[in-house]
This record gives sequence, structure tokens and C-alpha cells, in this order.
Amino acid sequence: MATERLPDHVLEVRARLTGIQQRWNELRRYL
Amino acid sequence: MATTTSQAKILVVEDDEKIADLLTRQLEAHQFQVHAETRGKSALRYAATNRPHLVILDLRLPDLHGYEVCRGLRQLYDRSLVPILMLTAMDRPVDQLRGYAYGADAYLLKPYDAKDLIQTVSRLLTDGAL
Repeated sequence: MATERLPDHVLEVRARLTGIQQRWNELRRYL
Repeated sequence: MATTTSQAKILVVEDDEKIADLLTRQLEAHQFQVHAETRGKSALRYAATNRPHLVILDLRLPDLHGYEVCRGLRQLYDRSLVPILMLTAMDRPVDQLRGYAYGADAYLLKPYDAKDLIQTVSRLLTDGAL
């Protein structure tokens, strides 16, 4: 099955949310 | 560096697929050639036989810590040959200082802006790491 190419803005939002989640995980390590 | 930025081969070491996908697309849109690895050991193996012009390195990887990968890369290539950009969510000043101590040339925090990424990559490739 062919993989659909996600639009750029969807990729950007997805990655930004992941980055925010990773920052939160870092913060929690030191709380 | 003799290579123009548009020909540059960039090794992306990032275990998160969503971020790796975006990095690849953003860099390819600026005519960089991208090779992505998700593990530190495989990245070191790749770099040993395929010298990249620049490495973008995440720090929390599943096998080796990014600092260890950075140290391994520095055993292979001097700063003047391969600049290393750390791209990480580790946001404490001490993390950044440690990154530079291990041999990084630039440090960007996630979530990052595409403009900052491309500017930093271009600067490192154009001006050299130092």
C-alpha cells in the first residue's frame, strides 16, 4: 500500500508537539 | 569548507520518527543530502565509512547517550572536518556546556524553528565549526 505523504504543516505540528513533550519529560526529571 | 552548502551531506541522528521525518524534509527542501540514523552505534558505524559534512545529533538515544556519540564522532573527525549540531530537549545550561565539552559546535533546543535550524546549519557549513 502506498504511504501517503503528509503535508508540511502537519509534520511541523507533529514534531513541535513531540519537542514540547520531550521538554516536559526533561523538566520532570528534575522536579 | 570547500563544499557548498547545497551539496552538503548531513547525518541526522534522531530516534523519534516524527522529528526525523521533519528534519529530513526541511533539510532536503534546502538541497541538503540527508542520511538518518535512529541509534548511536549505527550512526558511528555509518560515519566511520561515510564522512558527513555535518551531523545533527539528538542526545537521548536508545543505545548510547548523544554525548558518547559526539565523543565517538570526534575520535573520527576533528571539529574543522565535521561540525556537530546538538538538537535536544535537554535545556539546562549544564547540558549545553557538557555538549560543547564533548565536541559540539552548536546547540539547539526542541521544539525548534525551521529558520533557526537552517541558519545554524548554513553557518556551520559556511564558516566552519570554529
